[in-house]
Amino acid sequence: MKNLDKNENLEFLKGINKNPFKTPVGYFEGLEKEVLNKLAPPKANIRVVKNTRFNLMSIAASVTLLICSGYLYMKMESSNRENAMVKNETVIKNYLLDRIDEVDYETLYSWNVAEDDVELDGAVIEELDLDQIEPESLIDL
Amino acid sequence: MSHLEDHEILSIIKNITESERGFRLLIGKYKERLYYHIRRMVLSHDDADDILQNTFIKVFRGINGFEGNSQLFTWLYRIATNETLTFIEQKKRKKTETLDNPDLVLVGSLKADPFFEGGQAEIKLAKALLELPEKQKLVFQMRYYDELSYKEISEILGTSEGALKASYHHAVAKVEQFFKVND
Repeated sequence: MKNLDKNENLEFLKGINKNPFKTPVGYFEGLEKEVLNKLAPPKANIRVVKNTRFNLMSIAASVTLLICSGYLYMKMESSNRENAMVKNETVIKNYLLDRIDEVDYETLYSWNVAEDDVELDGAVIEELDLDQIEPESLIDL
Repeated sequence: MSHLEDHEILSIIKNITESERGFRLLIGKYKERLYYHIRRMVLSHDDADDILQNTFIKVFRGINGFEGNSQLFTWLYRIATNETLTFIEQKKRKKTETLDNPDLVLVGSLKADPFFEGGQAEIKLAKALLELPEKQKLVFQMRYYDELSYKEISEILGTSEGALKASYHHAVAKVEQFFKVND
């Protein structure tokens, strides 16, 4: 007992095994490694890059996208054409309505009534006061 | 085991390129002493292993703050002792809900412990130590088993040498009494 005085010797503990503890075989040999492993910073996750060269899913998705784009393009084209036609009709109609003011009503009447009808509806026509009729109504006559 | 002096190990650790080698040397030099110091307090190998590893991790993280005011050896002992006392306190708090005296159960399990080769006398001493207050038990263990000087124990526990001597003699008297009663 290097640090114990003679009068500190404990007679009643004579024969006691001061180190009755054992460790698993190789415990102390592996301790440094185990502690240093705990101290090491965790390794960064390595990202796995997928090989997409022959990925069937991506090919199918591309084809679907192409078809959808084509369909939408065609739809837009036909819609534009219809819009253009409607626009043309409106322009023609407006043009005609503007012209009505410039053309005399008799001419308009002649555009709308066939020669056969003149005889048939002659009496009625005579009774009409063309000055009182709206230009749009004349077209329907 | 490393034959280098503590200051040599410290200077290796503080050299960034060699710190790992220095730390290996430090563990190699003190692992057994610290292990048995901890093991005597917690009795179980698994617990001692956990505490020892945590101790070295704390040492590694705090080594740059070690200014050399005390010996490296006493600084290591202080960290190991504090880690062990914290562990024992936490374990007691967990187990008191289910067990009346967890320490007695632990001592009882020594007989079946494959890493314990003591006989009846050693188990009796372990039981006697359970009767001591924590501080007296620590002083007794450091003095009787580790054979540390009062000066070293004083550095580790931060208590005056006079108070430590008194604690040790109280502890010895109680252990002796326990042996007489349970003879």
